[in-house]
Amino acid sequence: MQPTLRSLAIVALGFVLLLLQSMVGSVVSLHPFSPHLLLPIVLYVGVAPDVHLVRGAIVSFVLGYLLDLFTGNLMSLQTFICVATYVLARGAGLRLLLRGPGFQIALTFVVALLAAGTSVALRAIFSVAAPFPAGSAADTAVALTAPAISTALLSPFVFAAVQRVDQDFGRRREESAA
Amino acid sequence: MNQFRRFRDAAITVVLLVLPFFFLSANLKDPSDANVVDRLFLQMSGPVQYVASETAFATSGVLEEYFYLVDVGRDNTRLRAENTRLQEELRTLRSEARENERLRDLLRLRERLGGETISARVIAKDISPFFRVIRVRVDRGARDRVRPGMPVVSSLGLVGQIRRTAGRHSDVLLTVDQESAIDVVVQRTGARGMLRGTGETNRYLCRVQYLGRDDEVEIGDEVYTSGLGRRFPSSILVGRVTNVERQEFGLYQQVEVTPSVDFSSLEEVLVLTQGARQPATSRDQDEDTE
Repeated sequence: MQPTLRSLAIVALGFVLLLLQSMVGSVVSLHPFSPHLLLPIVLYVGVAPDVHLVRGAIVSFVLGYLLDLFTGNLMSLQTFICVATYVLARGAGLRLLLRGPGFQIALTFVVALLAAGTSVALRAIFSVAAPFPAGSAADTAVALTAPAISTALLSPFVFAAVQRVDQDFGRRREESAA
Repeated sequence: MNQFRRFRDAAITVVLLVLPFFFLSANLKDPSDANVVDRLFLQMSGPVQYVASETAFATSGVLEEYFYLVDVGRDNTRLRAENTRLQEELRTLRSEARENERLRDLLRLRERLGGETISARVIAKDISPFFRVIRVRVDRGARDRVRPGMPVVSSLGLVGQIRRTAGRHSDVLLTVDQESAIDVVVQRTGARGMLRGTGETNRYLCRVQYLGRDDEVEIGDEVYTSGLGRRFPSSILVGRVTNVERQEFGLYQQVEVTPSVDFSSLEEVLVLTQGARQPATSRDQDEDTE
C-alpha cells in the first residue's frame, strides 16, 4: 500500500507543478522558455534506488499523460517521451550524475534537449504536413533549447521537492514497518 | 521464478513505452488510412481520453472557480473599505452643506438687521439634567468689542443677550433664562407684554407677562421683539404661543411661548454690537426660516 501512496504522492506533485505552471503562464507569458517541469520528476523516478521498474514506468506514463492533457499536445506524445526518458535514466544508471545542483542542471539540460529532439522527430514521423515547430532552422533551435534551458535551471528545485515528498513517504513506510 | 518476474516487468515496461507510440500513430493517421489495429487503439483510447480530459477540465474548473472566488473576496474587502470611505466623505459633505446653509441664513439675517454685527460660534453649552441647554458661551468677547446686554440672534430668531464678557469669549443669557426679560409684541394683534424665561430645566419655555385679559392671543401666534426699551431691535422673532390661560379673575392672562430657536442645536450666532435698523417683517422672517 505504501509504495502506491508514494507513487500517488509523486504524481500529485507533478499535477501541482503543472497547475502552478499553467497559473503562472496565464499571468506571464513564458514562451519560448516554458519549462518541462515533469522531466526532472521522471528523471528522479528513473534513478531512485528503491522504485520498482514497473511502478516507475507507470508513474512516468501517468505524468506524461497528464502533461498531454494539460498542454493540449498530440495525444500520447509526452506520454511516450516521459516513459522513454524513464527507461533511459533507468538503463543508463545516471544516479551519480544527479548529485549537486550543477550536475542536476547539466544532466536535465541534456535530457530535456533529447526529449525536445524526440518530440520533433516524432512529429516528423507522424505529421508530414508540419513536422517542425517553426519555419526556420533558427526558430527550431530556439524552440528546442529555450525550454531545455528553463527546465534545467528549475530542475534543482523540482528535484528537491520530489525528494522531500519521497523521503516523507519513505519515512512513513519505515515507521509503519517498525 | 525470478527470471519470470524480470521478464514480466520488462514486458510491462516495454508495453508502457510502446502503447503511447501506437496511440500517437493511430491518432495522427488519416482516418481513411487507419488499419484494424489503429481503429482498435482509437476505440480503446477514446473513452479513456474522454474521462481523463473531463476530469482535468473539472479539476481546473474547480481551481479556476476557487481563484475567481479569492479575487471576488479581495474585491469585496477593497470595495467595503471604499464604501466606508465614501460614506464618511458623504457625511462630511452633508455636514458641510448644513453648515453652509446655516452661515448663509446668518448672512441674510445680518443684511436684514443692518446695524453692526459680529458673527460668533458657540463654543460651550451648559446642559441641564434633562439635556436642555441652560447657558451658552460664544467665541467673541471684550476684545471683539462685545459688551453685556448686546442682543444675540440666530437665523431662527432671538437667542438672548450677552450676560458677561471675558477676553475672547462671552456668556449668553438665553431668552428662557429666569433672569431674561424682553419687551415683545404679538405680531397678529399688536398686543404687548414682557417675555420672561421660566428657567425650567426640562423644556424651553417663556411666559408673557402683563398681557391684558382682553388682548386677543391664540395658540400659534408669533411673538416678536417690540423694539421698546432700546435693548433689542424690533421685529426679531422670539417664539410662538403654545398655551393661553385666562383666569376668571385678575387683570392679565397667562400666555406661554416656546422659543423659535432650538438652543440644543445652536452653532453660529450674530451679536448685534450697534443699533440695528428695523426693516424686518414677519414675512422676511418666514422666508428666512424656510
